[in-house]
Amino acid sequence: MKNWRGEVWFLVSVIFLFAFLACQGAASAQDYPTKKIELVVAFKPGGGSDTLGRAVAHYGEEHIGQTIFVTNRTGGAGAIGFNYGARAKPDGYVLTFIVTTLTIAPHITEGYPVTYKDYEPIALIAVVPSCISVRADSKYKTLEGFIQDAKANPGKLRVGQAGTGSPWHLAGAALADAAGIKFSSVPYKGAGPSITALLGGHLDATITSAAEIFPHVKAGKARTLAIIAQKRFAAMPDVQTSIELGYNADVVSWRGIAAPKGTPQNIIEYLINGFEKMSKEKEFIDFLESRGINVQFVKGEAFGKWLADKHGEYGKIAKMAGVALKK
Amino acid sequence: MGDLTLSIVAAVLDIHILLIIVEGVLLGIIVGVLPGLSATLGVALVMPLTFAMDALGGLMLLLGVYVGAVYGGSVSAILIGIPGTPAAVATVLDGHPMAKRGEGGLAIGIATISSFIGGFASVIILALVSKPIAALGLAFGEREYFALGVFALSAVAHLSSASFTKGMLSAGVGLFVATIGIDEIHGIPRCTFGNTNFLGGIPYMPVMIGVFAIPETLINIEMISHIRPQIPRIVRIFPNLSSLKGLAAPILRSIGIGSIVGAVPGTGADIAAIVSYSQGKSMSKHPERYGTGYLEGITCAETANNAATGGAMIPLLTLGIPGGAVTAILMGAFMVHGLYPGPLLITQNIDLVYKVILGMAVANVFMLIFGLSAAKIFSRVSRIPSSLLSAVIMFLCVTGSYALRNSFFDVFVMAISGLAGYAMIKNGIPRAPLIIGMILSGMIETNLARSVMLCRGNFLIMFTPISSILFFLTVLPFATPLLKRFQKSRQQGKPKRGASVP
Repeated sequence: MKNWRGEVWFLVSVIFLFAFLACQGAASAQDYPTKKIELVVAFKPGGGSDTLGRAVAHYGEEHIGQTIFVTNRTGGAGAIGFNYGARAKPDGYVLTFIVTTLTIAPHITEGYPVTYKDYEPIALIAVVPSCISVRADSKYKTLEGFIQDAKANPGKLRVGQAGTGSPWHLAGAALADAAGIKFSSVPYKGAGPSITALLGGHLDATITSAAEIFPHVKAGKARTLAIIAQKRFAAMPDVQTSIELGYNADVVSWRGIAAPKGTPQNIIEYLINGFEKMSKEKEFIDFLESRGINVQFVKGEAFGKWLADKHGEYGKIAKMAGVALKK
Repeated sequence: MGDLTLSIVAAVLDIHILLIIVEGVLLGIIVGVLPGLSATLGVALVMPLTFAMDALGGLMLLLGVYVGAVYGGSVSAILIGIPGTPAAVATVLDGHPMAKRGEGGLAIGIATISSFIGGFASVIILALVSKPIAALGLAFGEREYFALGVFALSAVAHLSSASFTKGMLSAGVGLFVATIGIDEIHGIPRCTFGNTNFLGGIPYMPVMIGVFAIPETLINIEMISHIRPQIPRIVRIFPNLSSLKGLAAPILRSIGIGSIVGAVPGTGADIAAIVSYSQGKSMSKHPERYGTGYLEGITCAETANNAATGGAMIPLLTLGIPGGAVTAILMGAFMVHGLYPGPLLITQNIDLVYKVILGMAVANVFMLIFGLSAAKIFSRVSRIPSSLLSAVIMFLCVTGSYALRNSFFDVFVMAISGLAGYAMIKNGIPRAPLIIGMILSGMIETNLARSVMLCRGNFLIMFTPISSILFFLTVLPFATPLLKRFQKSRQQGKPKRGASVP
């Protein structure tokens, strides 16, 4: 008996070691998070996606209980970053700040490597409607006036948008289709340059997110003719929506957080819980509101369903706009 | 008015604000010196820190980083030949040869002084004559951008003194490489061969790092068995007065170019430096000395890129239009506090606007102080044995190209461009045109496409007053030698004809 002791101890320790190693996955799930968490932003520093992503990282840290750091993995209309985030190890340490592009680009870009299906949805953070705006001194006072002029001069009016396949390109196409008009759609690299071109008098109108134009409306330089969505925009409550005006066009941009497909459910729930607390924090809400954005928190499965709906919707509009891939 | 001035000065010279500016400038210089970290990334990194600050403090931190980073890029450009930021591409051309001669301290000295003069003067322009410049910037539509891009591209001709054809080849490759990826107008992937990495395009930063730094280290390795000439130890960082006097005209010109190019939305310090450098060379008395380690070359590039920082603030503060990513973040810093930059802000919060302007001037002063006091220490880099330095440079190349987009693909891009750069040096092909081509490619192509959409076949519409002037300036240097020759042949022709008919 006595001479066995060594072997028994050896066996026991081996079993413990194996058990310990085997439990690593599970244990890390229980102890999650034990190390810093990366939040992938698929767009350049300084842009709208980056700014909001950094705010989420900054205000989310406290509720998640770990440092969240932002990495900008840019290029290819989000392809590089979204693809990286979707293919990362599903252990909850790489999260992706997913935005509208993820539900549009797969419809229009050949070889786009990723869709919403490659992710576990965590939470929708914000939704911003699109809108059509003109310079403050423009002759167009109402959407009706603009549409009549566009009907009288088919294809002549120059309307800016934030790039082919951007939500604002689709919003323009949806509005044109609903109103039965044609205009010349001028793509820019992002909404910023299209607003600059509008204010410089190089465009008749531009389509942007309401959040991007509203500081210029507040500063008295631009006028928003209509919100192209169902609901009005909180920061500009007087502006009517396209739906109210009788044009069936509804395009919004959205931003949310997702983890790679296959991330353990308890980690997802932990993250949902943390970000939900963040979404109720006053400072976070204030920060978003200063940019005209309202927090719209939709979590887990409901967010997944929402993504599927948007994916389908944008696919239809892309086809209508003539930019969808021929399958 | 006196009270207002006093309160503005008191607010900016408050010890807390001063410390924030110091912190920002130091941080900015570090970000600028490290290759791969651009001014924009530096500003984006500190942005979350400003959430909890008051409006002035937050803006000062961001502006300090901005001013420091645009300057900091010149230090690595001079000492190790890697532009720390894209704005320092032109600084490499004269700065690095000086460092190799042992005059790195002097090169940093002149870069610091030029950066300060450019930055400070642009702040004065911002305070005094921002309105007309802002209006000029806003007048830039697709046709004007296209003309500006072509004008800046003509710099290639001035930068390829050895062989015009080789310069054009280099620029042509640059223009082409930048078209890889999703095209901006139609959203169609080009030359991607189904590879996701190519979908994102080839960014110019890793190419720039590879093309400039790798060949230098390879050549150092070649020379390892050779006995190297002792680099003279020159500790001077201040240029002598007589050489400064000759710099007055290029400085004034570069301030103008930098402020205006900076004020045009969508263009920035990089394009300002390229335009200023090439204009400096074409108008210089000694164009042949450009590119060999000439003070004037550094001055042109560094004055202009720092003048672009004040210039970039012009459309933001007067019209509320952020022209680039940095100013977009600054605009956000205003908005967090419920302030909306633009004409209304000027009437309602004029004191804050002036505080920001004054703070920016103070940031430039700190940049001067830090730059000059560190120049001596920095200049010792050129005395590090090249075998050691090469290893450090290689390390910086890898981390710098990775840091840009956190992508290994970019490290490969850097390595391949490094080998290409080596081949270019061996064949006498200038490297700067390649980078300039890559920087300008998108601007020229997309604005041409937008212009064509606008013109609908009537190409006379291309010529607006501003674009006509820019096209004229583009053609002028090429046409002048031809015209002179034509005139000469006529003048020589006349008396001959007269002589033959007595």
